[in-house]
Amino acid sequence: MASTQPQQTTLAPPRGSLYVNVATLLLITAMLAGCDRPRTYENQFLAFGTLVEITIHGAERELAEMAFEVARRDFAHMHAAWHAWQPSALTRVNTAIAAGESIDVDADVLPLIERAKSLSRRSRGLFNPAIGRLVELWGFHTDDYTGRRPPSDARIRALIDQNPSMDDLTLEGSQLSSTNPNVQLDFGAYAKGYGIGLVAEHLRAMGIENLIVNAGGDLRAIGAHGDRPWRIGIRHPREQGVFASVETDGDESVFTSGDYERYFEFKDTRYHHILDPRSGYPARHTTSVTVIHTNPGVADAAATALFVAGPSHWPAVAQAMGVRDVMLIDDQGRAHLTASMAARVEFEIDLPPKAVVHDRS
Amino acid sequence: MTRADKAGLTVSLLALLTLYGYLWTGIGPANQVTVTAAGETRVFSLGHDQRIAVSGSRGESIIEIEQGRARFVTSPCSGKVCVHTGWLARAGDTAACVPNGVIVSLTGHGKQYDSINF
Amino acid sequence: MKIQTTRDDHLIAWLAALAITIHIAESALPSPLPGVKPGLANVITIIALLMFGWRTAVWVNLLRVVGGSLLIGSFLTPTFVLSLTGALASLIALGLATRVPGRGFSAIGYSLLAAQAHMAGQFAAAYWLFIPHAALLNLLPLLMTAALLFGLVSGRIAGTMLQRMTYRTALPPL
Repeated sequence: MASTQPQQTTLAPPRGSLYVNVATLLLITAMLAGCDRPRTYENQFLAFGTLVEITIHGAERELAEMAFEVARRDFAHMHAAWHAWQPSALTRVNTAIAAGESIDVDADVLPLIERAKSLSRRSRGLFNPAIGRLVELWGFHTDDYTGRRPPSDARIRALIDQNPSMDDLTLEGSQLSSTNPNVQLDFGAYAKGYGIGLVAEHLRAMGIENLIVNAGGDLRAIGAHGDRPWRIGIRHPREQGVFASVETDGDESVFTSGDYERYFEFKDTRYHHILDPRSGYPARHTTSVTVIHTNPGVADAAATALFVAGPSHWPAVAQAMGVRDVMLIDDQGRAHLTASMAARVEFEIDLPPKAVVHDRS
Repeated sequence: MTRADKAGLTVSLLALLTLYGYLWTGIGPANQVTVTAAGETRVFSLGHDQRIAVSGSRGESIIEIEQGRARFVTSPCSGKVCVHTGWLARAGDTAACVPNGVIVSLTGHGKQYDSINF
Repeated sequence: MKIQTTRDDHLIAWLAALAITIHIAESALPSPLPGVKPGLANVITIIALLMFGWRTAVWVNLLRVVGGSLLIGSFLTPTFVLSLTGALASLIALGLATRVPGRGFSAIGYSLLAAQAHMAGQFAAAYWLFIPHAALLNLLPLLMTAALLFGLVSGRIAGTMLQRMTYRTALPPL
């Protein structure tokens, strides 16, 4: 070995060269992981009684972190203000209505009532936030469904006969009065849409141009992910995983109402939370409705209204509400789509044995 | 070049293209589980199977990692939405037990979707 | 004491010496990316495989890894482990490739397979043993591209060398 000694000193890399190599590798790894493109920041937290996920692309880290905090506070604030059964600005309104008194509505709740009134009318009453008592009767005001059974037909009938409607409410300025004391406001089908809209607006005002605000599966997506649009996966209503996807453009909201979100089962029948205000029972024949619209509040209310309208009547209601992009999955697993929705939905699996495209012409 | 050479080269090129497609377009497998409970986040590898007990506001949620997937086994909530979510297998898949304040989500090399609607 | 050596031993030693020389010369070259080297010692392995069979190629390649690392001073270090894993992976690939029926592969095909198997094996070892970081996977396509290119180059060299070599004696495959 002696003869190789000089050679070794000249040729051999210094001892520990591996560590130099490993260090270089780590550096490159970090570079590839870290600064190849503008970063996407994500934050998940529990708020608004659900899982909220904020996605931000192309903003500074500090700004993104600040935005997460702002979103968290906004959602917490709205949750407290709009809670339908725990003492809130909304329950105060409901107490006044029940007592037949007029009330000066809190500024947090006022726009909710105004907008919901007009949306309810356009939906032909299928989106009806005045049926809070019915929701309560069915027990969807708690999260505990153990041993739950449907209420008696007579009690449901009694509430329906009182015909609570948003038209019973009159607003003069912020002064609210009701001609029907049986109206009880529950914005379960609208508050999330309206709230997501507010939070997204707030974050945009902070200077964030590309973002997604997703609360419990409903979302508003603004901007894009760099040079490609945001990609939204739509989860299968019955099985695991995503079955379809869409790309959003500019500022769009994707909302889905499904019978799988809140429900209980009694004697092999599923009783879900989307109640038909005409019958007082969970709406039948629909599994889920997905709506894409530029206004998240409209998307939210429309998803509920079209779910209630069902597989044969939804196109007319969609038109009345000014909603173009709709996909309804019926109880047979068939997908019904508007032509504009069919043009943009990409099915990831061959779920729909039949996809029915409704051409509104 | 023999026929075998050409076949070998073709297969290599295809494999290489697939590799680029798989690793550079962000459609990759998930490789980590992020578990958040009571504001505290812990990260686990999807690589080895295990059961994790997480203390939430109501009690203990049990999370299982098996064959590169993760799921809620039990959770002290009445709705059991988290358990019904089933196996999470792809990067970006998330399940949460809202009453217990526990979030389980898979993170990985890339996500196929930026957000999931349901 | 005198150790009896056979003609095969000499042959293997001779080829291994060549491979080690190339191996060491290459290790002194600067590398644009860690893990990326032309792998010209691969040429010798391919020549050994085509002239004298897989067993000779195994000997030559393993001797190169061990001998080379002893001379460089990396024996039993992580570098050595990576190098050995790569060599074993490429030998396994070559062993399988020789079983292909018909005319089978020529130098370029063998070299291509060997280079890619080498890189894949080495990467797997690096990933599992040393740096299990997901972002490392980002490098893999680049590394495999390099392996493909260098595999073709050294295959070409091996092919040319084989053509120009005059077979003084027809050796039976070992």
